[in-house]
Amino acid sequence: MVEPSKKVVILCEGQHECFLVQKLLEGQPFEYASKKKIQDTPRDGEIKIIKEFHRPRNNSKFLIKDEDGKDKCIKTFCELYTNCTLYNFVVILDADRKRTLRKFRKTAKYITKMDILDKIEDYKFVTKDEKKHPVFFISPSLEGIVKDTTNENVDNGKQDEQKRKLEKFLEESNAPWIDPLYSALTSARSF
Amino acid sequence: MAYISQLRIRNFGPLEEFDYNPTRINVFVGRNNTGKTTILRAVDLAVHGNIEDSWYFPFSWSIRNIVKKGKKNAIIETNNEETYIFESMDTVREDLQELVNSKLGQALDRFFEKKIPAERRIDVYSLYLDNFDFAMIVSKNNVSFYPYPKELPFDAKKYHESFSDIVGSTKTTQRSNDQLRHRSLMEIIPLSLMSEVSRDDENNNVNYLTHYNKIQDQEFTQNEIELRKLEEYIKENHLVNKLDRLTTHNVMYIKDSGRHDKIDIEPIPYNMHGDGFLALLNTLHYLLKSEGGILLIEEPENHLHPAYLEVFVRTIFEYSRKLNVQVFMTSHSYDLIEEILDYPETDEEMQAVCITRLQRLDGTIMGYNYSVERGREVLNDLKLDLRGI
Repeated sequence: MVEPSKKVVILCEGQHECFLVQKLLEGQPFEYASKKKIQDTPRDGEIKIIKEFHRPRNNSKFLIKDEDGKDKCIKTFCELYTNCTLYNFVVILDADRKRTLRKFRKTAKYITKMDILDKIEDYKFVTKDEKKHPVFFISPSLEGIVKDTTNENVDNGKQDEQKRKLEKFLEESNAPWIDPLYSALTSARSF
Repeated sequence: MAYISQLRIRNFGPLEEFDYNPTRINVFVGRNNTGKTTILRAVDLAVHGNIEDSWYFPFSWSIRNIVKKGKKNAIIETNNEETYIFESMDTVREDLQELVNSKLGQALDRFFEKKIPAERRIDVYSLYLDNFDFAMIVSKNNVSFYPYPKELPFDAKKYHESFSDIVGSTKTTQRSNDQLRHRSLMEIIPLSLMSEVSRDDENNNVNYLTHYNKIQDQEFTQNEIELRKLEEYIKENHLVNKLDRLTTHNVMYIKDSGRHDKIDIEPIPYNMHGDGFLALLNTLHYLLKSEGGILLIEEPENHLHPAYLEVFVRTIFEYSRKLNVQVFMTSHSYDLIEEILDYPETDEEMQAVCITRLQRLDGTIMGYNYSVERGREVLNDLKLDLRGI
């Protein structure tokens, strides 16, 4: 039986990060809350999605959420960080030359009244509490590193095409954050 | 105390540290057991200098929970005025001991002076103090005592016999402990020593609308002028269909007689109405009677149809300004929060409200304040729920 407290909510800056995580979690039960799904859910839509994911009868271990942008992804995480102690979170953002980290720290200070991040690597930070929720900063951005590695523009093409490019990226890339991200996703459940 | 602009709570109930600058309308949300009601009680206690009767259960240790477990005392500070709460005589601060002892002596004298001859009082006091300890509330000019037995279960029969030995009573008792608790013990044991302050002090106009008051209190029926005001309000806002009058005993409804030239009036007693109707009347009544003071409301959404929430929120905003009432309320209602965040249009209205989510993190209760602006962002932009998940 799935232990509800060990479920993982993965907050992604955008659709491409979501596709990447889906690829990494291939073969494992997950739910995907796309931008459209969230927008179409009335009123307290995001919470409804999270609550449904949390119910014991839901067998998915992961919820991948498209936060539709850096700002919203950071704000949502900071709100949930104090608001919601039942889940493990993984956050995936583009580094944007450390601008994202600065934005994260500023937003966290405003919302949680604390500095909540500890640095592990340039690309990986964890929250200071005992849950140590990991926050990944992909440098320079997921789209940028895919382009550098595969010479493909992940922004072009339909969704299946974009997914194929990301798959190719995972096969060819030796970016240092990929293994730690995979490990964080899969080990988060054992906290 | 007309308006609280600063509230500081230390070690009171489950709250270890809570600092808050109240606005005109203060809403506390969060899961159960996160201290929402405790904040309302803290305000009530600080202003009155004592606690409501319903909190206190003689012959139990429950009153000791008024101070956070493991702490010696609690402090509630409102507008730089401190109220101290001690769970036992042993924990009273040194500089307050003389005051506490003197007030305890006065309180015991008041209780026993007509019951016990002066020469025997010292032994009666010794017996009492050997068997009872006190939770105490020490405010600016007053000390209130809440006795509890030092040992549980309390041996009422033995106490009664010792008391009889001292006062030389010829009465012997065959009663069981339980019977004694409820009858003769009331006459020989001061079960509550509330000292000199009354909860009806007009200078402290704080009204606490608990769940119980909401549906049981029929005080509003006692005053014709007030009934008129409630009636007008209900008619203006179309809250109750076919209402004709509110009288001291009945709600008068216009009944369709089937004839154009005749109107029938049907009286229905208040106690034949549902909880929702009584809750509505009491909420309005408490708001009106809190003029110039403070209104504490537990979960106003309970018993109310969701459509009334808009009226409730509008009323709270309008009347709290007009009647100069500071409001503290708890809520679990998403709809109520949404209405409260929707209502403000002017800067004054925006500044008038603060929603605080209380959250238990690693055993400690924290408060997160939401302005109207931030609350709207959380609800509308992030589509999150600021009550907590």
